[in-house]
Amino acid sequence: MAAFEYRQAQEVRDALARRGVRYLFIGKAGAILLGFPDTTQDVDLFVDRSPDNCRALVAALRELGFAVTDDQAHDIECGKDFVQLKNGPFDLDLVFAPDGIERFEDAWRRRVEVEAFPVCHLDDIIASKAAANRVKDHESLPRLRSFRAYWMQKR
Amino acid sequence: MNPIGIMQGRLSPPIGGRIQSFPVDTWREEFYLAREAGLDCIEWIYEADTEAANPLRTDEGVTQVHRLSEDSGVAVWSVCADYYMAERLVTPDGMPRDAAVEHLIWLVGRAGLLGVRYIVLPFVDESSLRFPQEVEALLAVLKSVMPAAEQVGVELHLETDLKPADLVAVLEQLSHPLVRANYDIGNSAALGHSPMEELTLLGPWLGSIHVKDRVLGDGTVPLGAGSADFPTCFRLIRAAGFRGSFILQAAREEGLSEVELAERNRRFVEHHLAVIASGSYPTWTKRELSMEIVEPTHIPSEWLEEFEAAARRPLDMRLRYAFIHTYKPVLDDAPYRAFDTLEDYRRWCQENLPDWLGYGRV
Repeated sequence: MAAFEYRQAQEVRDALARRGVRYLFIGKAGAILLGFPDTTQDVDLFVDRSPDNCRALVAALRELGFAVTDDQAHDIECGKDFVQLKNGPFDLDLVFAPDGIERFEDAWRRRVEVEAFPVCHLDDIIASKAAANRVKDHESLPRLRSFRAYWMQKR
Repeated sequence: MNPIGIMQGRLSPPIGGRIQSFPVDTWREEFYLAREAGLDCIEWIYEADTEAANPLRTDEGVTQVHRLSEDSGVAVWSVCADYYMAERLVTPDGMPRDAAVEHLIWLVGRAGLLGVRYIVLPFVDESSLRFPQEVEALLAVLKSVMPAAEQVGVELHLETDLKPADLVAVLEQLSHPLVRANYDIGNSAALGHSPMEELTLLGPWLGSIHVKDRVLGDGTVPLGAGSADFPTCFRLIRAAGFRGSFILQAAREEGLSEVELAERNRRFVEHHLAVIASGSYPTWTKRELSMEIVEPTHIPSEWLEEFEAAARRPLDMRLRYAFIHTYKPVLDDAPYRAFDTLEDYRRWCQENLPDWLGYGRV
Protein backbone atom coordinates (compact mmCIF):
# COMPACT_ATOMS: atom_id res chain seq x y z
CA MET A 1 0.00 0.00 0.00
CA ALA A 2 1.44 3.35 -1.05
CA ALA A 3 1.10 6.50 1.02
CA PHE A 4 -1.78 8.87 0.44
CA GLU A 5 -0.98 11.49 -2.18
CA TYR A 6 -2.25 14.95 -3.03
CA ARG A 7 -3.75 13.60 -6.23
CA GLN A 8 -5.75 11.09 -4.21
CA ALA A 9 -6.87 13.80 -1.82
CA GLN A 10 -8.18 15.70 -4.82
CA GLU A 11 -9.94 12.58 -6.09
CA VAL A 12 -11.60 12.06 -2.71
CA ARG A 13 -12.66 15.69 -2.60
CA ASP A 14 -14.00 15.67 -6.15
CA ALA A 15 -15.76 12.29 -5.97
CA LEU A 16 -17.49 13.15 -2.71
CA ALA A 17 -18.40 16.62 -3.94
CA ARG A 18 -19.93 15.20 -7.14
CA ARG A 19 -22.26 13.09 -5.04
CA GLY A 20 -22.95 15.82 -2.53
CA VAL A 21 -21.49 13.90 0.41
CA ARG A 22 -21.25 15.93 3.63
CA TYR A 23 -17.99 15.05 5.37
CA LEU A 24 -14.97 16.68 6.98
CA PHE A 25 -11.32 15.76 7.15
CA ILE A 26 -10.54 15.16 10.79
CA GLY A 27 -7.62 13.84 12.83
CA LYS A 28 -4.05 14.51 11.95
CA ALA A 29 -4.84 14.46 8.23
CA GLY A 30 -7.23 17.35 8.85
CA ALA A 31 -4.62 19.24 10.85
CA ILE A 32 -2.09 18.70 8.07
CA LEU A 33 -4.51 20.18 5.56
CA LEU A 34 -4.73 23.22 7.84
CA GLY A 35 -0.94 23.55 7.73
CA PHE A 36 0.22 21.43 10.67
CA PRO A 37 3.64 19.99 9.81
CA ASP A 38 3.60 16.35 10.89
CA THR A 39 3.34 12.85 9.51
CA THR A 40 0.47 10.40 9.50
CA GLN A 41 -0.53 7.17 7.84
CA ASP A 42 -4.29 7.34 7.71
CA VAL A 43 -6.95 9.57 6.33
CA ASP A 44 -9.87 10.08 8.70
CA LEU A 45 -13.17 11.40 7.45
CA PHE A 46 -15.95 12.55 9.78
CA VAL A 47 -19.13 11.81 7.86
CA ASP A 48 -22.69 13.03 8.37
CA ARG A 49 -24.49 9.78 9.15
CA SER A 50 -27.84 10.57 7.51
CA PRO A 51 -28.92 7.61 5.32
CA ASP A 52 -28.88 9.55 2.04
CA ASN A 53 -25.44 10.90 2.80
CA CYS A 54 -24.10 7.44 3.61
CA ARG A 55 -25.56 5.97 0.41
CA ALA A 56 -23.87 8.73 -1.57
CA LEU A 57 -20.65 8.03 0.30
CA VAL A 58 -20.71 4.34 -0.60
CA ALA A 59 -21.18 5.19 -4.26
CA ALA A 60 -18.28 7.64 -4.11
CA LEU A 61 -16.04 5.12 -2.36
CA ARG A 62 -16.71 2.54 -5.06
CA GLU A 63 -15.95 5.14 -7.69
CA LEU A 64 -12.64 5.81 -5.94
CA GLY A 65 -11.72 2.12 -6.15
CA PHE A 66 -12.68 0.82 -2.72
CA ALA A 67 -14.02 -2.74 -2.97
CA VAL A 68 -17.04 -2.10 -0.77
CA THR A 69 -19.24 -5.19 -0.63
CA ASP A 70 -22.98 -4.98 -0.14
CA ASP A 71 -22.63 -6.08 3.48
CA GLN A 72 -20.03 -3.42 4.10
CA ALA A 73 -22.20 -0.85 2.37
CA HIS A 74 -24.97 -1.88 4.75
CA ASP A 75 -22.63 -1.26 7.71
CA ILE A 76 -21.83 2.20 6.44
CA GLU A 77 -25.43 3.03 5.71
CA CYS A 78 -26.84 1.63 8.93
CA GLY A 79 -25.12 3.45 11.67
CA LYS A 80 -21.77 1.90 12.58
CA ASP A 81 -19.76 4.48 14.49
CA PHE A 82 -16.42 3.55 12.97
CA VAL A 83 -15.43 1.85 9.72
CA GLN A 84 -11.88 1.07 8.67
CA LEU A 85 -11.24 0.55 4.97
CA LYS A 86 -8.03 -1.01 3.75
CA ASN A 87 -9.58 -2.41 0.60
CA GLY A 88 -8.90 0.50 -1.69
CA PRO A 89 -6.14 2.65 -3.12
CA PHE A 90 -5.29 4.06 0.34
CA ASP A 91 -6.24 3.49 3.97
CA LEU A 92 -9.36 5.33 5.01
CA ASP A 93 -11.13 5.57 8.35
CA LEU A 94 -14.75 6.66 8.39
CA VAL A 95 -15.77 8.16 11.71
CA PHE A 96 -19.42 8.86 12.31
CA ALA A 97 -19.27 9.84 15.98
CA PRO A 98 -15.82 11.12 16.91
CA ASP A 99 -14.94 11.62 20.55
CA GLY A 100 -15.26 15.18 21.77
CA ILE A 101 -17.69 16.42 19.12
CA GLU A 102 -21.37 16.14 19.88
CA ARG A 103 -22.98 16.58 16.48
CA PHE A 104 -21.82 16.64 12.88
CA GLU A 105 -23.81 19.86 12.40
CA ASP A 106 -21.73 21.64 15.01
CA ALA A 107 -18.47 20.68 13.37
CA TRP A 108 -19.88 21.45 9.91
CA ARG A 109 -20.76 24.97 11.02
CA ARG A 110 -17.23 25.50 12.30
CA ARG A 111 -15.50 23.90 9.32
CA VAL A 112 -12.61 25.45 7.43
CA GLU A 113 -12.17 25.09 3.67
CA VAL A 114 -8.66 24.64 2.31
CA GLU A 115 -8.54 24.50 -1.50
CA ALA A 116 -12.15 23.25 -1.35
CA PHE A 117 -11.19 20.47 1.09
CA PRO A 118 -13.72 20.64 3.95
CA VAL A 119 -11.76 20.34 7.18
CA CYS A 120 -12.81 20.28 10.82
CA HIS A 121 -11.89 23.41 12.72
CA LEU A 122 -8.63 22.87 14.58
CA ASP A 123 -10.51 23.16 17.89
CA ASP A 124 -12.62 20.17 16.90
CA ILE A 125 -9.57 18.18 15.88
CA ILE A 126 -7.94 18.98 19.20
CA ALA A 127 -11.15 18.26 21.10
CA SER A 128 -11.51 14.84 19.49
CA LYS A 129 -7.88 13.93 20.16
CA ALA A 130 -8.07 15.15 23.75
CA ALA A 131 -11.26 13.15 24.33
CA ALA A 132 -9.84 10.02 22.68
CA ASN A 133 -6.87 10.29 25.03
CA ARG A 134 -4.76 7.62 23.35
CA VAL A 135 -1.02 7.46 23.84
CA LYS A 136 -0.38 8.77 20.33
CA ASP A 137 -2.85 11.62 20.82
CA HIS A 138 -1.28 12.48 24.15
CA GLU A 139 2.08 12.76 22.42
CA SER A 140 0.89 14.96 19.59
CA LEU A 141 -1.40 17.33 21.52
CA PRO A 142 1.20 19.78 22.93
CA ARG A 143 2.56 20.48 19.46
CA LEU A 144 -0.95 20.62 18.01
CA ARG A 145 -2.01 23.14 20.65
CA SER A 146 1.02 25.25 19.88
CA PHE A 147 0.13 25.06 16.22
CA ARG A 148 -3.37 26.23 17.11
CA ALA A 149 -1.92 29.38 18.68
CA TYR A 150 0.09 29.99 15.51
CA TRP A 151 -2.81 29.20 13.20
CA MET A 152 -5.35 31.38 15.03
CA GLN A 153 -2.95 34.28 14.84
CA LYS A 154 -2.36 33.84 11.12
CA ARG A 155 -5.99 33.34 10.12
CA MET B 1 -3.93 42.59 25.94
CA ASN B 2 -7.16 43.70 24.27
CA PRO B 3 -8.11 47.38 24.65
CA ILE B 4 -10.79 48.09 27.25
CA GLY B 5 -13.31 50.85 26.68
CA ILE B 6 -16.64 52.06 27.95
CA MET B 7 -20.06 52.81 26.57
CA GLN B 8 -20.56 56.55 26.22
CA GLY B 9 -22.65 58.11 28.97
CA ARG B 10 -21.46 55.69 31.64
CA LEU B 11 -18.92 58.23 32.86
CA SER B 12 -21.64 60.81 33.45
CA PRO B 13 -24.56 60.85 35.90
CA PRO B 14 -27.64 59.11 34.43
CA ILE B 15 -30.01 61.33 32.46
CA GLY B 16 -33.71 61.00 33.19
CA GLY B 17 -33.22 57.72 35.04
CA ARG B 18 -32.00 55.99 31.86
CA ILE B 19 -29.12 53.57 32.23
CA GLN B 20 -27.74 54.43 28.80
CA SER B 21 -27.99 57.61 26.75
CA PHE B 22 -25.88 60.07 24.81
CA PRO B 23 -24.46 62.55 27.39
CA VAL B 24 -25.57 65.71 25.70
CA ASP B 25 -23.86 68.04 28.15
CA THR B 26 -20.82 66.02 29.18
CA TRP B 27 -19.59 64.12 26.13
CA ARG B 28 -16.48 66.25 25.92
CA GLU B 29 -15.56 65.69 29.58
CA GLU B 30 -16.00 61.95 29.20
CA PHE B 31 -12.80 61.68 27.13
CA TYR B 32 -10.76 62.88 30.11
CA LEU B 33 -12.76 60.84 32.60
CA ALA B 34 -12.09 57.77 30.48
CA ARG B 35 -8.40 58.55 30.55
CA GLU B 36 -8.57 58.94 34.33
CA ALA B 37 -10.17 55.51 34.58
CA GLY B 38 -7.36 54.03 32.49
CA LEU B 39 -9.59 53.21 29.53
CA ASP B 40 -8.49 53.00 25.91
CA CYS B 41 -11.67 53.94 24.09
CA ILE B 42 -15.28 55.10 24.20
CA GLU B 43 -18.11 53.47 22.25
CA TRP B 44 -20.07 56.38 20.80
CA ILE B 45 -23.86 56.40 21.20
CA TYR B 46 -26.09 57.51 18.39
CA GLU B 47 -29.74 57.60 19.43
CA ALA B 48 -32.91 59.14 18.06
CA ASP B 49 -34.04 61.51 20.79
CA THR B 50 -30.67 63.26 21.22
CA GLU B 51 -29.75 63.19 17.54
CA ALA B 52 -29.79 66.95 17.17
CA ALA B 53 -27.10 67.30 19.86
CA ASN B 54 -24.83 64.55 18.55
CA PRO B 55 -21.60 65.96 17.07
CA LEU B 56 -21.38 63.01 14.69
CA ARG B 57 -24.04 64.78 12.60
CA THR B 58 -21.80 67.66 11.54
CA ASP B 59 -18.31 67.93 10.11
CA GLU B 60 -17.48 70.47 12.78
CA GLY B 61 -18.60 68.03 15.46
CA VAL B 62 -16.50 65.24 13.99
CA THR B 63 -13.47 67.51 13.97
CA GLN B 64 -14.09 68.30 17.61
CA VAL B 65 -14.29 64.59 18.49
CA HIS B 66 -11.01 63.99 16.65
CA ARG B 67 -9.37 66.78 18.60
CA LEU B 68 -10.60 65.55 21.97
CA SER B 69 -9.59 62.00 21.15
CA GLU B 70 -6.11 63.07 20.18
CA ASP B 71 -5.74 65.30 23.23
CA SER B 72 -6.98 62.72 25.74
CA GLY B 73 -5.47 59.64 24.09
CA VAL B 74 -8.89 57.96 24.26
CA ALA B 75 -10.04 56.56 20.93
CA VAL B 76 -13.49 56.25 19.39
CA TRP B 77 -13.44 52.98 17.47
CA SER B 78 -17.14 52.13 17.56
CA VAL B 79 -20.64 53.52 17.43
CA CYS B 80 -23.57 51.96 19.23
CA ALA B 81 -26.51 52.77 16.99
CA ASP B 82 -29.33 52.81 19.54
CA TYR B 83 -31.12 55.06 17.05
CA TYR B 84 -32.52 51.94 15.37
CA MET B 85 -34.13 50.70 18.54
CA ALA B 86 -36.63 53.53 18.24
CA GLU B 87 -36.48 53.85 14.46
CA ARG B 88 -36.53 50.19 13.57
CA LEU B 89 -34.79 49.00 10.41
CA VAL B 90 -37.42 46.34 9.71
CA THR B 91 -41.17 46.17 10.14
CA PRO B 92 -42.85 43.28 12.00
CA ASP B 93 -44.32 42.06 8.70
CA GLY B 94 -40.88 41.67 7.20
CA MET B 95 -40.23 44.83 5.21
CA PRO B 96 -37.15 47.06 5.38
CA ARG B 97 -38.07 50.55 6.64
CA ASP B 98 -36.71 52.72 3.84
CA ALA B 99 -36.21 55.87 5.90
CA ALA B 100 -34.26 53.99 8.59
CA VAL B 101 -32.18 52.17 5.99
CA GLU B 102 -31.32 55.46 4.29
CA HIS B 103 -30.40 56.84 7.69
CA LEU B 104 -28.11 53.88 8.37
CA ILE B 105 -26.36 54.36 5.04
CA TRP B 106 -25.82 57.98 6.04
CA LEU B 107 -24.60 56.98 9.52
CA VAL B 108 -22.12 54.52 8.01
CA GLY B 109 -20.65 57.41 6.03
CA ARG B 110 -20.45 59.56 9.15
CA ALA B 111 -18.79 56.73 11.05
CA GLY B 112 -16.25 56.44 8.25
CA LEU B 113 -15.54 60.13 8.59
CA LEU B 114 -15.01 59.72 12.33
CA GLY B 115 -12.64 56.83 11.63
CA VAL B 116 -14.56 54.21 13.59
CA ARG B 117 -14.03 50.53 12.90
CA TYR B 118 -17.54 49.24 13.53
CA ILE B 119 -21.15 50.12 14.25
CA VAL B 120 -23.14 47.96 16.65
CA LEU B 121 -26.74 47.47 15.48
CA PRO B 122 -28.96 46.48 18.41
CA PHE B 123 -31.79 44.06 17.72
CA VAL B 124 -32.77 43.52 21.33
CA ASP B 125 -35.66 44.56 23.59
CA GLU B 126 -38.00 46.78 21.53
CA SER B 127 -36.02 46.16 18.33
CA SER B 128 -35.79 42.40 18.87
CA LEU B 129 -36.25 40.23 15.78
CA ARG B 130 -39.26 38.19 16.85
CA PHE B 131 -40.47 36.75 13.56
CA PRO B 132 -38.67 34.92 10.74
CA GLN B 133 -39.83 37.56 8.27
CA GLU B 134 -38.01 40.21 10.32
CA VAL B 135 -34.81 38.23 10.00
CA GLU B 136 -35.36 37.99 6.24
CA ALA B 137 -35.91 41.75 6.12
CA LEU B 138 -32.70 42.31 8.09
CA LEU B 139 -30.78 40.35 5.45
CA ALA B 140 -32.22 42.63 2.78
CA VAL B 141 -31.34 45.72 4.83
CA LEU B 142 -27.75 44.64 5.31
CA LYS B 143 -27.32 43.78 1.65
CA SER B 144 -28.41 47.27 0.71
CA VAL B 145 -26.14 48.92 3.31
CA MET B 146 -22.99 46.90 2.58
CA PRO B 147 -21.81 48.94 -0.44
CA ALA B 148 -21.67 52.03 1.81
CA ALA B 149 -19.88 50.05 4.53
CA GLU B 150 -17.39 48.68 2.01
CA GLN B 151 -16.66 52.18 0.76
CA VAL B 152 -15.51 53.37 4.19
CA GLY B 153 -14.38 50.00 5.62
CA VAL B 154 -16.77 50.11 8.58
CA GLU B 155 -17.97 46.79 10.00
CA LEU B 156 -21.56 46.19 11.10
CA HIS B 157 -21.91 44.15 14.28
CA LEU B 158 -25.27 42.57 15.02
CA GLU B 159 -26.35 42.51 18.64
CA THR B 160 -29.37 40.25 18.79
CA ASP B 161 -31.25 38.02 21.18
CA LEU B 162 -31.57 35.33 18.51
CA LYS B 163 -30.55 31.81 19.42
CA PRO B 164 -26.84 31.37 18.64
CA ALA B 165 -27.44 28.97 15.75
CA ASP B 166 -30.00 31.35 14.23
CA LEU B 167 -27.59 34.28 14.42
CA VAL B 168 -24.85 32.17 12.86
CA ALA B 169 -27.29 31.23 10.09
CA VAL B 170 -27.84 34.94 9.37
CA LEU B 171 -24.09 35.62 9.36
CA GLU B 172 -23.43 32.63 7.15
CA GLN B 173 -26.11 33.67 4.71
CA LEU B 174 -24.52 37.08 4.38
CA SER B 175 -21.01 35.71 4.63
CA HIS B 176 -19.58 39.22 4.37
CA PRO B 177 -16.27 40.06 6.07
CA LEU B 178 -17.70 43.35 7.32
CA VAL B 179 -20.73 41.79 9.04
CA ARG B 180 -19.94 40.28 12.42
CA ALA B 181 -21.53 39.49 15.76
CA ASN B 182 -21.56 41.58 18.88
CA TYR B 183 -21.58 39.43 21.99
CA ASP B 184 -23.11 40.91 25.12
CA ILE B 185 -22.03 38.79 28.07
CA GLY B 186 -24.79 40.03 30.39
CA ASN B 187 -27.65 39.85 27.90
CA SER B 188 -26.63 36.33 27.01
CA ALA B 189 -26.64 35.33 30.69
CA ALA B 190 -30.07 36.92 31.20
CA LEU B 191 -31.42 34.86 28.31
CA GLY B 192 -29.99 31.70 29.84
CA HIS B 193 -27.82 30.95 26.82
CA SER B 194 -24.86 28.64 27.36
CA PRO B 195 -21.64 30.59 26.75
CA MET B 196 -20.00 27.33 25.76
CA GLU B 197 -22.50 26.70 23.00
CA GLU B 198 -22.87 30.33 22.03
CA LEU B 199 -19.23 31.34 21.89
CA THR B 200 -18.16 28.12 20.25
CA LEU B 201 -20.64 28.82 17.47
CA LEU B 202 -20.07 32.56 17.29
CA GLY B 203 -16.29 32.42 17.76
CA PRO B 204 -15.40 32.82 14.09
CA TRP B 205 -17.88 35.70 13.76
CA LEU B 206 -17.03 37.64 16.91
CA GLY B 207 -16.58 41.31 16.17
CA SER B 208 -17.14 43.09 19.46
CA ILE B 209 -17.93 42.45 23.10
CA HIS B 210 -20.09 44.28 25.62
CA VAL B 211 -19.19 43.52 29.21
CA LYS B 212 -22.07 43.59 31.65
CA ASP B 213 -23.70 41.23 34.10
CA ARG B 214 -27.38 40.37 34.46
CA VAL B 215 -29.40 37.97 36.53
CA LEU B 216 -31.15 35.21 34.59
CA GLY B 217 -34.37 36.71 33.26
CA ASP B 218 -33.71 39.96 35.05
CA GLY B 219 -31.84 43.25 34.94
CA THR B 220 -28.27 44.55 35.03
CA VAL B 221 -26.23 44.10 38.21
CA PRO B 222 -22.60 44.85 39.12
CA LEU B 223 -20.00 42.72 37.33
CA GLY B 224 -19.68 39.36 39.03
CA ALA B 225 -22.99 39.65 40.93
CA GLY B 226 -25.24 38.16 38.27
CA SER B 227 -25.58 35.01 36.18
CA ALA B 228 -22.75 35.69 33.73
CA ASP B 229 -20.01 33.05 33.74
CA PHE B 230 -17.14 35.44 33.15
CA PRO B 231 -14.27 32.93 33.40
CA THR B 232 -15.83 30.75 30.72
CA CYS B 233 -16.79 33.72 28.55
CA PHE B 234 -13.34 35.31 28.65
CA ARG B 235 -11.62 31.98 28.03
CA LEU B 236 -13.75 31.21 25.01
CA ILE B 237 -13.54 34.75 23.66
CA ARG B 238 -9.78 34.46 23.86
CA ALA B 239 -9.86 30.98 22.38
CA ALA B 240 -11.75 32.44 19.42
CA GLY B 241 -8.76 34.69 18.76
CA PHE B 242 -10.72 37.88 19.52
CA ARG B 243 -8.46 40.91 19.36
CA GLY B 244 -11.02 43.69 19.57
CA SER B 245 -11.94 45.86 22.51
CA PHE B 246 -14.03 44.97 25.55
CA ILE B 247 -16.63 47.67 26.09
CA LEU B 248 -17.82 48.12 29.66
CA GLN B 249 -21.57 48.49 29.91
CA ALA B 250 -21.94 47.60 33.56
CA ALA B 251 -24.58 48.61 36.09
CA ARG B 252 -24.13 51.78 38.05
CA GLU B 253 -23.47 51.45 41.78
CA GLU B 254 -24.32 53.74 44.61
CA GLY B 255 -21.40 55.03 46.65
CA LEU B 256 -18.98 54.92 43.72
CA SER B 257 -18.37 57.72 41.27
CA GLU B 258 -18.67 56.90 37.58
CA VAL B 259 -14.87 57.06 37.21
CA GLU B 260 -14.21 54.87 40.25
CA LEU B 261 -16.69 52.32 38.98
CA ALA B 262 -15.21 52.37 35.48
CA GLU B 263 -11.74 51.87 36.90
CA ARG B 264 -12.89 48.96 39.06
CA ASN B 265 -14.65 47.35 36.13
CA ARG B 266 -11.59 47.81 33.94
CA ARG B 267 -9.57 45.96 36.57
CA PHE B 268 -12.22 43.23 36.62
CA VAL B 269 -11.72 42.60 32.90
CA GLU B 270 -7.94 42.90 33.15
CA HIS B 271 -7.92 40.40 35.99
CA HIS B 272 -9.79 37.81 33.92
CA LEU B 273 -7.58 38.36 30.91
CA ALA B 274 -4.47 38.06 33.07
CA VAL B 275 -5.68 34.82 34.64
CA ILE B 276 -6.19 33.35 31.19
CA ALA B 277 -2.83 34.61 29.98
CA SER B 278 -1.16 33.02 33.00
CA GLY B 279 -2.54 29.64 32.02
CA SER B 280 -4.73 29.18 35.11
CA TYR B 281 -8.01 27.73 33.97
CA PRO B 282 -10.33 26.96 36.85
CA THR B 283 -13.62 25.15 36.20
CA TRP B 284 -12.87 23.91 32.70
CA THR B 285 -15.55 21.91 30.97
CA LYS B 286 -14.50 18.73 29.20
CA ARG B 287 -14.37 20.37 25.81
CA GLU B 288 -12.62 23.45 27.14
CA LEU B 289 -10.02 21.22 28.72
CA SER B 290 -9.09 20.05 25.26
CA MET B 291 -8.25 23.64 24.27
CA GLU B 292 -5.61 24.33 26.93
CA ILE B 293 -4.87 27.55 25.17
CA VAL B 294 -1.24 28.20 24.35
CA GLU B 295 -0.22 31.83 24.05
CA PRO B 296 1.52 32.57 20.72
CA THR B 297 4.48 33.86 22.68
CA HIS B 298 4.86 30.46 24.35
CA ILE B 299 5.29 28.43 21.18
CA PRO B 300 8.70 26.72 21.35
CA SER B 301 10.98 28.38 18.83
CA GLU B 302 11.81 25.17 16.94
CA TRP B 303 8.11 24.43 16.49
CA LEU B 304 7.44 27.97 15.38
CA GLU B 305 10.12 27.62 12.71
CA GLU B 306 8.50 24.40 11.53
CA PHE B 307 5.04 26.01 11.41
CA GLU B 308 6.37 28.92 9.40
CA ALA B 309 8.29 26.67 7.04
CA ALA B 310 5.16 24.57 6.47
CA ALA B 311 3.10 27.71 5.82
CA ARG B 312 5.47 28.59 2.98
CA ARG B 313 4.95 25.24 1.27
CA PRO B 314 2.08 24.65 -1.16
CA LEU B 315 -0.51 22.12 -0.09
CA ASP B 316 0.60 19.38 -2.48
CA MET B 317 4.11 19.53 -1.04
CA ARG B 318 2.79 19.53 2.53
CA LEU B 319 0.82 16.37 1.82
CA ARG B 320 3.80 14.74 0.12
CA TYR B 321 5.87 15.27 3.25
CA ALA B 322 3.06 14.31 5.61
CA PHE B 323 1.70 10.96 4.49
CA ILE B 324 3.85 7.93 5.01
CA HIS B 325 3.02 4.27 5.01
CA THR B 326 4.53 1.65 7.26
CA TYR B 327 3.10 -1.71 8.16
CA LYS B 328 1.15 -1.72 11.41
CA PRO B 329 0.83 -5.24 12.78
CA VAL B 330 -2.71 -6.52 13.36
CA LEU B 331 -4.25 -3.22 12.33
CA ASP B 332 -3.19 -3.69 8.71
CA ASP B 333 -3.98 -7.38 8.60
CA ALA B 334 -7.62 -7.09 7.62
CA PRO B 335 -9.03 -5.22 4.64
CA TYR B 336 -12.14 -4.10 6.48
CA ARG B 337 -13.42 -3.59 10.01
CA ALA B 338 -16.54 -1.94 11.38
CA PHE B 339 -17.51 -1.18 14.95
CA ASP B 340 -20.93 -0.36 16.31
CA THR B 341 -19.52 2.28 18.62
CA LEU B 342 -16.26 4.15 18.83
CA GLU B 343 -15.88 2.76 22.32
CA ASP B 344 -15.94 -0.78 20.83
CA TYR B 345 -13.17 0.25 18.46
CA ARG B 346 -11.10 1.79 21.24
CA ARG B 347 -11.51 -1.38 23.33
CA TRP B 348 -10.53 -3.56 20.37
CA CYS B 349 -7.37 -1.46 19.86
CA GLN B 350 -6.53 -1.71 23.53
CA GLU B 351 -6.93 -5.47 23.57
CA ASN B 352 -5.45 -6.39 20.21
CA LEU B 353 -2.81 -3.92 19.09
CA PRO B 354 0.77 -3.82 20.33
CA ASP B 355 1.24 -1.07 22.91
CA TRP B 356 4.00 0.60 20.95
CA LEU B 357 1.55 1.57 18.19
CA GLY B 358 0.10 4.08 20.66
CA TYR B 359 -3.58 3.25 20.14
CA GLY B 360 -4.15 2.40 23.81
CA ARG B 361 -5.67 4.87 26.25
CA VAL B 362 -3.31 6.91 28.38
